[in-house]
Amino acid sequence: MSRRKSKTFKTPRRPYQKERLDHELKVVGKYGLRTKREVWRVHYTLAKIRKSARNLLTLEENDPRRIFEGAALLRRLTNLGILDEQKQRLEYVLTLTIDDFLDRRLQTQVYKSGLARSIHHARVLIKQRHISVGSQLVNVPSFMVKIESQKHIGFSSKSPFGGGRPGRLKRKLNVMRGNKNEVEEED
Amino acid sequence: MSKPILFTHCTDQEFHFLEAPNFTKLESSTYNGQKYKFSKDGKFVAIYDPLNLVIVNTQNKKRHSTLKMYHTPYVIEFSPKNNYLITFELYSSKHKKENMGNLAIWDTKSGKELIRIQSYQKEIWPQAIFSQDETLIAILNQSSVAFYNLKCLNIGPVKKKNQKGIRNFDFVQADNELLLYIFSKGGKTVGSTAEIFVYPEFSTPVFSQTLMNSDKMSIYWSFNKRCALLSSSSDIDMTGNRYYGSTNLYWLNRQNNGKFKFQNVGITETIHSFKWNPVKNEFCVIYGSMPAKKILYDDLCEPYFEFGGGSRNDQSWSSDGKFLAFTGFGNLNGGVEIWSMEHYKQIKFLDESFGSQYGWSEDSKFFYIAVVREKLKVDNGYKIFTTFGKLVKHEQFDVLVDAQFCPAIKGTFEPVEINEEVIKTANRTYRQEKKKKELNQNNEQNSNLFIPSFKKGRTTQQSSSIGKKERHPMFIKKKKKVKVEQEKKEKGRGRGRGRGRGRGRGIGKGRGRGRGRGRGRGRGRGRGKGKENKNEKEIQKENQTNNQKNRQNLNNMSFEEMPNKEFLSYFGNYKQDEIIKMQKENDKKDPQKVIRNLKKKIKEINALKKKKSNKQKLNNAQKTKIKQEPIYKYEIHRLKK
Repeated sequence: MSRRKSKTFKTPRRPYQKERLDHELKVVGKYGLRTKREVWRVHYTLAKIRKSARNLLTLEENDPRRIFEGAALLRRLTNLGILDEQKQRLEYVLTLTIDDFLDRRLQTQVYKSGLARSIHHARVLIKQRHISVGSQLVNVPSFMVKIESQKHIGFSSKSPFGGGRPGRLKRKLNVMRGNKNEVEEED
Repeated sequence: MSKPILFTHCTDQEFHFLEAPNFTKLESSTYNGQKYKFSKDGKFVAIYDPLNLVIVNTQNKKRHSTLKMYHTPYVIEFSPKNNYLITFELYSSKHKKENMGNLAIWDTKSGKELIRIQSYQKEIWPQAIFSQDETLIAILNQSSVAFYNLKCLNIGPVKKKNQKGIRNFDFVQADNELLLYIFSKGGKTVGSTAEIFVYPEFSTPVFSQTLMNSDKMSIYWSFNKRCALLSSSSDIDMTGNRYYGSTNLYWLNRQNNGKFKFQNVGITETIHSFKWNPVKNEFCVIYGSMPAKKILYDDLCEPYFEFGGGSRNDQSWSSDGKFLAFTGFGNLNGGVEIWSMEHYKQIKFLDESFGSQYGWSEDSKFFYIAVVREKLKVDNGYKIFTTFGKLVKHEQFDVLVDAQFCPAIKGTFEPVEINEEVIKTANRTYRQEKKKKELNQNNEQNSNLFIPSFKKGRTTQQSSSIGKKERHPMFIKKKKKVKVEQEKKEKGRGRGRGRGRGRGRGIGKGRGRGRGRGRGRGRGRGRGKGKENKNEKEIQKENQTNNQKNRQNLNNMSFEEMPNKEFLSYFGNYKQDEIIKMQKENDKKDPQKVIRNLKKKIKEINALKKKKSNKQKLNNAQKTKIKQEPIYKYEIHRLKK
């Protein structure tokens, strides 16, 4: 019943900075986000990862904690597709940007795999329950797609695009047209 | 049974056959014509003369039959068993006047026209496809695909599949079933669908997928017809990344249900080319910005091999499936890499810069490159190579319309044998090649060695002469002469000691540095600012006598046979002192004991070398040990004398 809560975003220090506002607006337009909070959320996750990477780099190379936690961090990032397979070192973690994280959202992956006409169309499709990753229906546009599941993004089997029965409006129209045809034939 | 391999080329007016292995013209086998098309067997050719289509038997080179045409055909195609022929003409005002159709089906033996159908579209081909049995033919209309029975065409379609807005379709036989593939484009909200049906049952598709972002989607089957690749392309890219629109690759696999499994191959960059292996269920994709990545994908659509090499555009498989050629024509520098797929190694590199058509012979013994009038108006001609890179034939024309190898059924030819030497010499590194060059004074190129053009580079022997034209003294103006002489006097020519194995020219005590630094590794050439400015002639005499003679002798000897001085000159001053010390000490002791000790050291070094070859890391101390190996070897040789 009780859920653990923690803050996921952090507001910027200075509220009115022309450069920052322009940059954030571009990001929002490029990835089809809803609020600035979604941008600050990604900033916060990046900051936490950089902090841990920085701490680990101050330790010695042979330190068991550095080896263990460093490897775990790199593994997590490569599984999500954020870090290249050939850049498996802690120094490369410090060169990551926000775009790397935002590219791995379900919303952009749906658009890039050709299932949607535009980024905004992708968000609509996801929220209206048309898209599944493998066999699991996903309703959340900020779902981080792992590398293994990238090939299994498609229309779910119950949506009208993926072979299910047509939607509510279409069914209604079909019934109306069916009635019309019957009426005409009788006459 | 080995059949003769034919190569055909077609100039502006004539059409010739050439026969392997010499590719000489056969006298009784020239026809007049501009366009031509082979049947899929390779048994017949259809050559188009104005208003006459001549069908020729490729083995006899004699006429089989002629067909009378009303208009020039845009496309000619044979049926799989060579009984029927399709021609498609562009719809023009003549067709309107006479109320005639575009698409015509002919009988090849008699030459009669069986049926004519009207179709307006020119951008979509194929519009008519035969089944392999030659019982059915499928023809595209604007809103349906109609199936006709070939024996009774005038009756009308036997079956129809209705769908609006069909852009692509394909009709293929897989094992015992006939598969129909349709791609139709819907409106904005509905999206476009790709579907596959088994022939008579058009109500339930075996595969269906809706995509929002594609305008065309064409299908490429593998040899089994169990896997397929779909390439979807859209005309407009909304992100603005690419001007020409975006493309995506999807992969289909047929399962035991009978249904197809759909998967995105996962390539986001520009795709240059992709092709199936004609023997296996694997395919190779070239994608990305230059130098592009070339990756082989598995049965299960997972990448398992990456080809190295330069930047290439396109690929062509031999019909065995044993050779792959990557070509880089078009907007690239040029060059052809030939890889063997049994050993996964590069056999040969051909340094060709022009080419618009290329391909393998059905034998997979020959590879041809042709420059064709459509693409280039200059330099028309063709070249034929063997798989190991020898030029067999080269011919040039003013106008060359087309050049091709005659196709044949698979499995009728013997496989090509590869020598073991070719594989051993394949993939040599740059350093090994350079060493070979330095040893061979004549710099002959073996046909088994491949040296790509970007690695040929410059040896230091040539580096000074590149860019400088040798001019006759008559053509050099007087001013320049004076300048040149003045420069020589000012600079002087000192003799310095270059680093590495360079023998610099210059007097003066540089510690291997100063101005007398050797260029690169190899022959260093120092130009020292000599303290004493000698006359040119004296300097030249000295240099000639000592350096050049010694160099010529040294090139032939191995370092073990060299006298002590020459051996020492490879090292800097600091090391020379050490070596001289060591040699003096060793002279005092027992030679045999010393030799034993040295051999122990050499054993350790060999162990270290193994580690290096296993790609393990070495300390700095270990690395210096490896460098000292030649010293020990030389000592053993010296003490044995």
